[in-house]
Amino acid sequence: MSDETKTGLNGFLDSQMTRRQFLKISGKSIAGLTVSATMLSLFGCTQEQVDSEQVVTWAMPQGLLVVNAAKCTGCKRCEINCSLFNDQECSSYISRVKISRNLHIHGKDGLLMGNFTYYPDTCRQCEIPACGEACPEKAILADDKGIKRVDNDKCIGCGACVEACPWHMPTINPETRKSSKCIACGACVLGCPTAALSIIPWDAVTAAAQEIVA
Amino acid sequence: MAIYGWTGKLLRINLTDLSATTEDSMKYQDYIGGMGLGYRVIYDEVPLNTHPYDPASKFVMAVGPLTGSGIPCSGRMNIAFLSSWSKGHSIIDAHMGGHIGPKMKYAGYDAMIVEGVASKPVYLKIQDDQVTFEDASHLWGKGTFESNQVITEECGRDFESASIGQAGENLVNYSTLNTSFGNSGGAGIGAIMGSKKLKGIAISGTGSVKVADPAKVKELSDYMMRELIGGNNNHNVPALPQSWAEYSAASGKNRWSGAPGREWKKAAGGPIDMGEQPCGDINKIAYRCLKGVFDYGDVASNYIVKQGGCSSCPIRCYTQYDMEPLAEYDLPTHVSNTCMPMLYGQNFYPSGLIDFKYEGDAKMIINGASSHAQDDLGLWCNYGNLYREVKWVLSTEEGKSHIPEAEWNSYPWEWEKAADPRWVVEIMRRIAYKEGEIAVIGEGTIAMAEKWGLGKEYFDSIDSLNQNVTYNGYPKHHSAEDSGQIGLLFNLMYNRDCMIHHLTNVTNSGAPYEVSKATMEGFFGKGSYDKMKSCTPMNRNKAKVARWAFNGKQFHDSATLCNWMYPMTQSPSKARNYVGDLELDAKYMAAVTGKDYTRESVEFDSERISQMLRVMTAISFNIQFGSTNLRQDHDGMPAWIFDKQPELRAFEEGTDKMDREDMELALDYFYEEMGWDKATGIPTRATLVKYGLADMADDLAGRGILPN
Amino acid sequence: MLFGRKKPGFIVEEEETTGDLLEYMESLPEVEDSDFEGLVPPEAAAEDEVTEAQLLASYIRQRTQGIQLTSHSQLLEEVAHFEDLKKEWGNDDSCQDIVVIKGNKDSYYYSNLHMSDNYAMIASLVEEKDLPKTIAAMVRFNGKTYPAPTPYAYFERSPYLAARAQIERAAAVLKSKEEYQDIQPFKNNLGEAFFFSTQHMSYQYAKALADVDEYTD
Repeated sequence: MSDETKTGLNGFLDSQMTRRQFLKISGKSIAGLTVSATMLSLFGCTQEQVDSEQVVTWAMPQGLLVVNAAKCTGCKRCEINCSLFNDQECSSYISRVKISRNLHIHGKDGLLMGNFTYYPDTCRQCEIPACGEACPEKAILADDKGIKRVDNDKCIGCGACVEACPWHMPTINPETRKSSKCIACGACVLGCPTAALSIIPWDAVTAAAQEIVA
Repeated sequence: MAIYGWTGKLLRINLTDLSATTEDSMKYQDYIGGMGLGYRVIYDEVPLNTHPYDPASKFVMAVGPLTGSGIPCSGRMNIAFLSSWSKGHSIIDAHMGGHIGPKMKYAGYDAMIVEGVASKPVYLKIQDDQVTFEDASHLWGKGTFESNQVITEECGRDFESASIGQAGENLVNYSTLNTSFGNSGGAGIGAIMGSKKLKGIAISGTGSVKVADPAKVKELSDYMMRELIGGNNNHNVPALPQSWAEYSAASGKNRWSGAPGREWKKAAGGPIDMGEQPCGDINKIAYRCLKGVFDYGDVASNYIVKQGGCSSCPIRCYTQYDMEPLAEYDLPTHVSNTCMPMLYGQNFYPSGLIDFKYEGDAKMIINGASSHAQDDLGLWCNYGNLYREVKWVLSTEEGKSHIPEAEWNSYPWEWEKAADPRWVVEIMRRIAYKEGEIAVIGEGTIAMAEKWGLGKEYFDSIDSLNQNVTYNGYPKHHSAEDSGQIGLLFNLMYNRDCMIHHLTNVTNSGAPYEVSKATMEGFFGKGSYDKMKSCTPMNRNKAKVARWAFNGKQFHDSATLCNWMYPMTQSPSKARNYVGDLELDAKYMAAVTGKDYTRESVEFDSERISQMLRVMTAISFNIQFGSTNLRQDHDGMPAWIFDKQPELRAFEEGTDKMDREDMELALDYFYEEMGWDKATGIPTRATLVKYGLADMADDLAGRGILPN
Repeated sequence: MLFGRKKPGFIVEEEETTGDLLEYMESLPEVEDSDFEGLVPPEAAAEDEVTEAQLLASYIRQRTQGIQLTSHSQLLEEVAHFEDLKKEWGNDDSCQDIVVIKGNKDSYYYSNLHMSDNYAMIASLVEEKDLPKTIAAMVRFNGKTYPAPTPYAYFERSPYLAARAQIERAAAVLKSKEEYQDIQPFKNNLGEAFFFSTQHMSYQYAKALADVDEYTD
């Protein structure tokens, strides 16, 4: 906890401002940056986890998505919840959060590589989405909450979004032939049995930031 | 007509002509799937006198409508085949967790029937509807970990893979099929695949499991995770006091071991405290189990990275360790298993163990080495008979007498004396490679007894190294010590250890006896639930409980659901008076399949599978021994069960020893519950007709063993 | 980077970052958040009038969620008109969860929405730091409730966290006092030390429950 009297930190006076601040570091490494005890507690992580690059944050419309790789146990309930909630069926392939592909072999990591490093990939809800930019039908657009969604009426299932996304997050649903893309519904977070995925509402983040100023 | 839950298709794999065809699987709907489907196929297609390694033998890998549906703890796969090692060589099944069961559903298949023999080693590659036979000659001779890694690298990281190890290749009866990390199906499936030159299986699927009522599936899953699920083995109170909980384990030890101050010390980025995990908080369930601490105490935390396990399960019962002391011996440091392989490596060390780095860590580190080696070799333990028999050989004069002196002297004893982990790895290797007389243990308890001239007295002996619950070659798996006659009854019924946790999950939960008793009596009536180590004589309600648990295992292995977590008999919720929900299985089946399942109909379909097990066992015993009486020839109970603790009487406080006459009554009641002939324990025609198994009744009649 | 990029060059490599997270974010150039324009911040909940008694209840509730009891003596010392506020709780539906458990040395308040009565009993015992009394109370409780004997090791763990030496000393005190004669130590078949209460079970039964049968996994 910072012990200096702060006259700055004006960027965290309300939810909107807080989100704008966190947008600047969405997906970026925060290793080396000191996070206050209050905020660490809110995020459910430790400074050491931050510094060892176990923690990544993404500014979503409804709150800060915190992904803590150290906590992931590979249960795949994130994939299950995503597909049950959004597609009304249970699947790994079309899940918009992806852990199965990281579990056994993921570069030098994974169970079959002899270590226990595995974690889910999440959609970044990028400000300038590569998927949207690549879509020839302009089918990926932000809705009024800022969430990038696929308009199924426009989507032709060409797969340009899959290729363009640096993390290959969208999947073309083999049955509907539409792009299956994260809409920040939060179902994965609600069902994670370790809170490896968690979403902190913006007002809570703001309150924690304000606490430090005060 | 849309099919929900099931895919509607199964694969028939012929290794002789390397062909793969699809068939309708819905004709097996009444058998649910998994075990039920597998048993029916084996009965229909494999004469019961077929040796498991004969080219005509088959095995059936099958899952059920719930597998991959998103229901919690629905990741298991069942494998049905004939036993190479238990008396009668009858029908058995292996069960494998990890992630490959749901993957088979996503690829589009409810089951896979494997027949024939490949001319050279292959592995099966299934990618949705594309099935190919890949060359596995470069994998033959490799352990399961390397084999699975290479297969996954060759096929792609979206594949799940399972491989046999050298034990399976060498046709060791005690062999497994291994997947993910530490997950395995045992009971000899490894050697059956080895005999068919099938090294492994890789599956990838872009499909999905269709569920009839997705909102209901989600609602039931959330309900189960909020209100019903406890810790591992559904223990419904925490091991240590937690502030939200009314009760905790008085001994301080049960399978809900996560607690404040207990950590995954080797988690990436620093220790993670388990904290409290209140009933109702879904996002903390995975911190409850902490199996390593249950097994080894707090010293285990020093090596715990995290907990893993099977698809869809929030419990995570596989402790994933990084045991750095093993590096000194050039052994892998990342090790993981949830149960037996991780528990009895110390049996190999008559000289005792020596701690490695922390006080009290010796057993754990030895078992880390031992479990990894066992999983890599694809070696099975017969629920601990292997470890006990090895200990008997290494630690007793009588056991040692069966090993030739030259062989005995060839063992690297300097490792044993130094409590070196390479000792247990080497002994396991010899068994997996059939090197020496000690490898007879790998052929099975019956084979060992025959080869070494161990008579009935071996099975009868009062000795902790003898846990044989029958004369058929398999040990007890939560028997009278947990639930008196109830546990003993269902332990007798299979052709391997029973894997039933219905009773032990309640008796060892740590909940107060009066609370659990109220729950059980609410479900099964008065007298149905004894106090621990304070048994009462047999009664009708106990027989009902035994039937429920027996049929329940069939349901789990057919649906599929985890046999360690289900059923949700108890709950951690005080608001529910700690009472679980036994309607849940039917609710799951209805929501997933869209069919009108009720608790009664689920139990009915499950009991159909119990009847098949019994018929096939009767036929096998008739073929092998000319037996016409399962009560005498299959259900015989060794003497130790009744004669242990000679200073105490049965039903006295302080013992779980049983009474012979009382157990005969227990068999009478149980057979009556099951519709089996009292004298022979064989199903009657009326019973078989009731379950639509008239063809099996005819079969029994044709062999002269159908009861009148 | 752990969450490594698949395509090089997609993200400009950042300079090494140090310092406070919030300050660092403020120092970065503004980014456009066009998506947020449509977002209306949630209305601040109309704040109801909260009485002092309700505030105090809320404080005790918060402490309970932090697994802490709140002692009567502390409240008397630090809260003006505590007894009046306590009376108000009795008449306020929203404060019915604030309950009290009486110890030897003090009384302790907690919210029974967040803590079980049994745990509060344990917590009050631990708070009062009378290990012999704690052991006797829990051994009797365990003997009556489950029923089961209690290993010495039980008191080494959360939330008791006593040292083995302290437990041994306490066992000696228990042996010496008339009121604790029902608390009897014994060893199981593995040589592990246990207590049981003769008020609730026989030695034979206690030993049978404490003994570890091999191969019951």
